[in-house]
Amino acid sequence: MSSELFAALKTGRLIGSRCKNCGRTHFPPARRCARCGGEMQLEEIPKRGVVLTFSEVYVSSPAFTPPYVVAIAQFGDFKVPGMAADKVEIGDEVEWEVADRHGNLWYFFRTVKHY
Amino acid sequence: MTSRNINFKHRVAVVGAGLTLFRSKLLETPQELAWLAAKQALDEAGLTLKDIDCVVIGSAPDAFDGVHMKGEYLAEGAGGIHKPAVRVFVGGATGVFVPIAAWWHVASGLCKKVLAVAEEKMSHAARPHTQYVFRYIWDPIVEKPLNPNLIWIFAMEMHRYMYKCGVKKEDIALVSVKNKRNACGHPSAQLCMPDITVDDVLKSEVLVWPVQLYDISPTSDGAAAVVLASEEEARRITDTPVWIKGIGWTLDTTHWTNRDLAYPEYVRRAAEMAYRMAGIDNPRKQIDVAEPYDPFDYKELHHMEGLGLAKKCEAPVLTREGVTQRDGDLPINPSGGLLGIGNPIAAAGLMKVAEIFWQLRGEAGARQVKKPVYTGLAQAWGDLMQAGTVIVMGV
Ligand SMILES: [Zn+2]
Repeated sequence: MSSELFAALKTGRLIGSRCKNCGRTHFPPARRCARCGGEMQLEEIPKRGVVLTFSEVYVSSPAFTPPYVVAIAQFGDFKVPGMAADKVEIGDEVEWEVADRHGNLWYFFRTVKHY
Repeated sequence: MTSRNINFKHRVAVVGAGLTLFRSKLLETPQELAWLAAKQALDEAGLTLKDIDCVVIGSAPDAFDGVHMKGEYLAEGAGGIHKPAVRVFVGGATGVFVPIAAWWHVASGLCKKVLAVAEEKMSHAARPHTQYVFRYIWDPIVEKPLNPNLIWIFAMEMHRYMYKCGVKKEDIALVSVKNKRNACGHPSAQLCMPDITVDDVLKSEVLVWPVQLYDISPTSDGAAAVVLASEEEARRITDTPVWIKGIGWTLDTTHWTNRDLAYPEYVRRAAEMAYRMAGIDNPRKQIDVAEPYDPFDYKELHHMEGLGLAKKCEAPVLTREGVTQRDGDLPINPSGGLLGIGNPIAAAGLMKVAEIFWQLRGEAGARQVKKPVYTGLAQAWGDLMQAGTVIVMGV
């Protein structure tokens, strides 16, 4: 269902899928549930989430300039991997944002600042 | 409950094992390495190639050796020509999958004596670095744009495990120290470090935080082999056969980010299958010695918990208390593991099976664990943190 995902990104949305049978969520959106094989329906991924884990990359290939941070964050029922704009800690609040990256629309995580 | 009871016809034993040196940049070709290990296993069993009915080959991505159709290529080295030969491949889990597949051959009654060989040569073909092979294993939609490498996905898993179980880097480093010291008793070892300390691990180069250089096994070339035989043949070959009591393997979703990274479900399911077959209901009490897969130090802890050798979050405690040392109550990776001996992927997994074979026969020399051992386990793990393979052996 990547065409649906790309279409959603064009309108500034991020989508996953939820199993109609067992309720398991999936990102990226899938046609078939990995747990029970059930049919899935698309669902909007909430804007705000919490960092579950992250890694700080110091050794990488030329496409990226280290150090940079990659994280998995939980948005509602969805676990989403992505690049983080700033340093994060486990438990930090983040929001996903859609942006142009190397000519493609993709998303990244930005830390929610509490003033 | 996905695993079911397994009906099989014949008991299967391991009757010989062989191992080459594990090194970076060995001069032997992959075919030569495969043969060196195969020959040693045959010699140990007192057999020659003529005695072998079928050959099973295991190797990880073709790109490491730089030879597509690596199974056919290696089968030639291992003596598989003009015999029924097959290659199996489940990423890093391959090494333990090789004797599992060889077991099918014998347990089904199809073959009586099977040669199982695993080989990997990581230093030469992949350019500019071995890790580049792993650029082509990702989900094209979500992961490829992040330019992932294996170290950073494991860093995520390690971090989540540390957070959920409150484990410190110091606790994890103890595994690396133990295994690199244990390796000094192993003639194949690439990274024997008799004086390494926790401090050395904590001060080593940061690759992808929280993973540092000494948290990881090295890239290596090497091969391993075992000979399996039916009960009747095994009793003819040796007075000390080591029986394969249980086998298990499972696959989890490729979308690893959707999972609970703090606990290796893929190992639990594979272990459950093997335990049921082996009649094990309390692994902590019934397994005497184990070789869980340790390409990273935290993985030894993670896998001990998945295997039920420790409760969730308990493996670091057992490690700190010395339970997992060679002279401890539950010796873990007495061989030195991948962290100490090296990591030629498929060969490293099969090395663990060979180690359990030698430990159960009391033939592990300087590495022999202190307590008497009757039942042992080897485990490997691979693909996108999703494939688990487990073998239980006993005398
Ligand atoms: Zn479902």
